[in-house]
Amino acid sequence: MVRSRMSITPTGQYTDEELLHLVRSEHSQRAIDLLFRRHVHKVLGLCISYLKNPEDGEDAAMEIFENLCANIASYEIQKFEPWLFFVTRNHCLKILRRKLKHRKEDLTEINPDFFVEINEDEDHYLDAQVEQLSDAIDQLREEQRKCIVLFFLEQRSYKEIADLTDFPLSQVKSNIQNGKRNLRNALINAT
Amino acid sequence: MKKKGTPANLSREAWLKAARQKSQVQEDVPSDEFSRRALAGLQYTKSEPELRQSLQRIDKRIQELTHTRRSALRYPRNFWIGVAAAVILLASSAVIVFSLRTDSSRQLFAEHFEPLPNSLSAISRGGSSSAGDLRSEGLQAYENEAYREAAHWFEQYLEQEPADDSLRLYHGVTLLALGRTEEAISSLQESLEGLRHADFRSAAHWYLAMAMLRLKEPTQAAEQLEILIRENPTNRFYPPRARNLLAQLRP
Repeated sequence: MVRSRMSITPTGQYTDEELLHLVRSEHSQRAIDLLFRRHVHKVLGLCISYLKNPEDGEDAAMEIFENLCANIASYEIQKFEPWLFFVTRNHCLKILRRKLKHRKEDLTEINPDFFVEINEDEDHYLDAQVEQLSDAIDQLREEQRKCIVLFFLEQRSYKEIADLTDFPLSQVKSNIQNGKRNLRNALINAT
Repeated sequence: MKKKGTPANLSREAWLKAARQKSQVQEDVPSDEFSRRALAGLQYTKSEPELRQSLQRIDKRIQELTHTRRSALRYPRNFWIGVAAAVILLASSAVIVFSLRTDSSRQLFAEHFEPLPNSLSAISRGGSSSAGDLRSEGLQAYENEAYREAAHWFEQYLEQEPADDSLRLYHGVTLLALGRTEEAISSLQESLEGLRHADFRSAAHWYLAMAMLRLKEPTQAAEQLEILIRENPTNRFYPPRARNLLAQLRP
């Protein structure tokens, strides 16, 4: 059961579910504050891991918390942390999908079926592909990963990537080519 | 699979520590996917201070959002008074609630902060005699409440003996006494990475909570107090004070 608002257990800490109960039963904004701030670092880390860029990760985390602050009481949540994980994951995958659509042709080199036309209700299929691609990018060697992230997620040209990374243009091209090949192999192995 | 040294649940401090020591990210892999991926994200970050700032910006945004809603709940609108009056009432109440809250954090700091009594020997456990002199000078100045001077000696000493975490704790308290709050937080957090003695750890969490209050961050102050109670429940000094302070900070 939920403890009285002023009482503290020997461990001194409310569980997530107790805080959620305070949110629902007493509309406690302080409980929302405590609950969310307890998980900020994990949400931020997860966003950065999907979006591969700290600034985009921060923006995504802000959006998630802004949305949740307004709507948290309306969701049916059994276990807060797994639920928050899926909310964060889905938000990031949505952003990733949007970014990757700018490189549709290059993505079909990695996986010809990547952006096959699918129904809205089959988005989970695309999400799984995007997540696999994201995981595969994480596994690339650093120089390939840097170039692939700039190319696919930030839509940079080869020249811009060379300027940003200090790699010669020829190396940028080879990093991207090799990166694509490694991504293709990783996706084949994952399926 | 859970490996040796795996944190059961990834705390903010553990995450930031992993950001400082990126080599350890691969070794301490938590079992839950959320924590594991949150750690994996660190490979795309630049530095721990930048991440800390990023966390603070998000914290601040959450605080702003919940404050706004709190003041709105406290002052329900009344149709009969009219929309204009409600807007004025809401705007002024938000200002009052915010200022009361921030003032109360500062007030709590003023009520609860007092420097940690010196329990360290002036003689260092090792190191060179010149380092020992710096330590002695620093502790003497600390006892005399000459904090500016103490900070000067402590900083010189810690450059030579960076592993003396108990002295680093006193350095953090000294900085806090001087009003150098953000530096104090950094020093106290660093001391916690090496401190093993439970009572020293409790002191570090207590003064981190004080620092958070001074920064008007009551939620983070409460987190430090909760850790303090959890880590050292049998200590007779800090946990009762922490519970008392938490009761004043609770929703």
